Amino acid sequence: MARPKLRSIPSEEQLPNFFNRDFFDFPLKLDIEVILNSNTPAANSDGIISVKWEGRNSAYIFEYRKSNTPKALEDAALKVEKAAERTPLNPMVVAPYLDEEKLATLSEKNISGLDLCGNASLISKEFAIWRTGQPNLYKSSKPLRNVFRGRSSIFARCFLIRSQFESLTELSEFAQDRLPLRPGKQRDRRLTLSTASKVVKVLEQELLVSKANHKLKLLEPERLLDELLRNHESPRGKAFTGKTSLAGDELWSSLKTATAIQAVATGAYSAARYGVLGASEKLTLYVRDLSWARERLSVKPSKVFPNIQLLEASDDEVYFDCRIDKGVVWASPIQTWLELATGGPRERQAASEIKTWLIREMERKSP
Amino acid sequence: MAYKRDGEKITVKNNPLHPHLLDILKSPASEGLILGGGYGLQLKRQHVKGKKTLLQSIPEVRATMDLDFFLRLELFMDPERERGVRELLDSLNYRPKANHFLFEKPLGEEYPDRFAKVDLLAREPTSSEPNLKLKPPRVGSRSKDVNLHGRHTPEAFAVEESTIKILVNEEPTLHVHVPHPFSWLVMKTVAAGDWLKTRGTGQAKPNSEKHAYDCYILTGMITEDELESCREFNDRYKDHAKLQEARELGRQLFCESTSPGYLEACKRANVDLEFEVFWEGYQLIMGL
Repeated sequence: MARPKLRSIPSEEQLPNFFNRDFFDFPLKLDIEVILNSNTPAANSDGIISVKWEGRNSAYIFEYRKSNTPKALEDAALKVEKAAERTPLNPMVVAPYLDEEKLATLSEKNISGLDLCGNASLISKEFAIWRTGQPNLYKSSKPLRNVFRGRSSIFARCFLIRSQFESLTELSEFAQDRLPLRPGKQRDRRLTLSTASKVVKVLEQELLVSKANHKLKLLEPERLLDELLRNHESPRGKAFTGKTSLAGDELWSSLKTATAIQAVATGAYSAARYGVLGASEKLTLYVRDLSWARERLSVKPSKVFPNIQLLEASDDEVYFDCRIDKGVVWASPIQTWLELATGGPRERQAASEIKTWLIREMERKSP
Repeated sequence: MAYKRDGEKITVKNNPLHPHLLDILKSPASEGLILGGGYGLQLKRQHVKGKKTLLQSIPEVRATMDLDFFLRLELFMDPERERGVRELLDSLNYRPKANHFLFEKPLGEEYPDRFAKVDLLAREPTSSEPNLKLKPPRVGSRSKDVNLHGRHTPEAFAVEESTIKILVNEEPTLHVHVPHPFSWLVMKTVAAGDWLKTRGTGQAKPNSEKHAYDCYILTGMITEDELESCREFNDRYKDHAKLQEARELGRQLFCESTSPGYLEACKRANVDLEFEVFWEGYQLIMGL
């Protein structure tokens, strides 16, 4: 099914006109009227929303947020809850999109939720209405498209190695120190302070990281792992399967260059290094340049008992925090966990062992 | 895949042939027999379960009611051993059907109209084996004392070499030998070639199209060590006319995913086949 074209999020001023449309026409006929704060006595809020259903009427004092991140919704809920205390009105949060989970979170606090896609949880003495399942029609207002995927995810991964940073600069340097240089580059400007700032802003909005006096602290390691896993995508470069007569030290020294890391074992192959699975007979490597690696390792194409697979990957995150041990370049524990967690039953079992270890290490290192 | 009359799927262990095979193997006279054919394939498939083979997924082997045994030619040079094999078959109530190389007996009460067949085969004697008698379709000893022959199988030139020993029963411990994948694949390719030449002419043997499918299974079941050892076979027999013939037939049968042998294999398999891996492996085994 074709995905509908996403709309721009309306401003607060556009809301009164917005609900003139038939959002709740079928099977639930609701009349919604929005009166903005400038026209109401509802101080410290964005305004009042009146909802009519089958002759019954309920009024809500509301806070509107253009973002539906956990932090934005939590802030709005706190504010509207406080504002409602001074009025007989019911508290309500309005956002472009509220899924079932977010509506449930608001309901638990006795706060109604209404979105611009046709979802609502309306609580009052007159009625209780629960309507979900309408898709998100709005563009994300996040400063970065996805901080849990691609190069930006490196900052999220940093918090799983060290849960606290004194500043954004420290986070940025920490990330850069663990990202091997690209071939031919003396300095790397990929993980800039500006990107770190944007990522941290999203992580804050998601209530995964707190920021106080410039200090950054990871709040929920398990949820951060879940987000990384939910957004994980394998590199999509070319693959080459075949045979090489090189093995062990000889193989890895052939891939060695003066400054850059040209190849890293995949997470799936690295599972043996972390002791969660037996060693695989077929070496699987991410390589920056497939032709270069093929030539260096004299790999002949073969699908018959291949002993090597090269996967071209320019994605920085697969090289991030790689561990060099006796010349062998292993994937980071996080990369290993991600690949195993998206594998078969045996791999997923191994992934759960790594996850336990990652969380234990974080707890151990936490001050 | 075949099923018993009660609907139960026939596997290696519950195959009605299995007790008959065990009866034969229990006798010391069976030493040196090499089991080929469909039942040999079934046992090999069972044997490689859990091992690293060329193909991860090996299709089911067709059901069979024949025990195809290759006799080592040295047997015909030792009258006592030769007699031992014949007496073994007699003692198990097998009756000769043709040329003293095809024997049969009722399969059992459960299968009133069916027979367990024992087909004895043998390679062609070489010039260094003048004491043996070759009178196609028979191979045997020059002695007339024992009525036992092998069906002349010229493409089985390497069948006695580097056979694979397979455990078929734990208590008592019983083993059987099956041919090395190289010699087996050469034989199967020639058989599939016969089908190719005769198909649609009315002269094709019944079920002869099965051999193309068997070639796929044999290739898929090969282990890395077995594949490595195929080089020696190819070096040793590089000038052998039957190998050259088999190679040519192999090309005609399988060189493309639209080749008749490969299409026939696809038709018989109930799973998707992997052409690229199969063809690369086939070429390595056959030295193409």
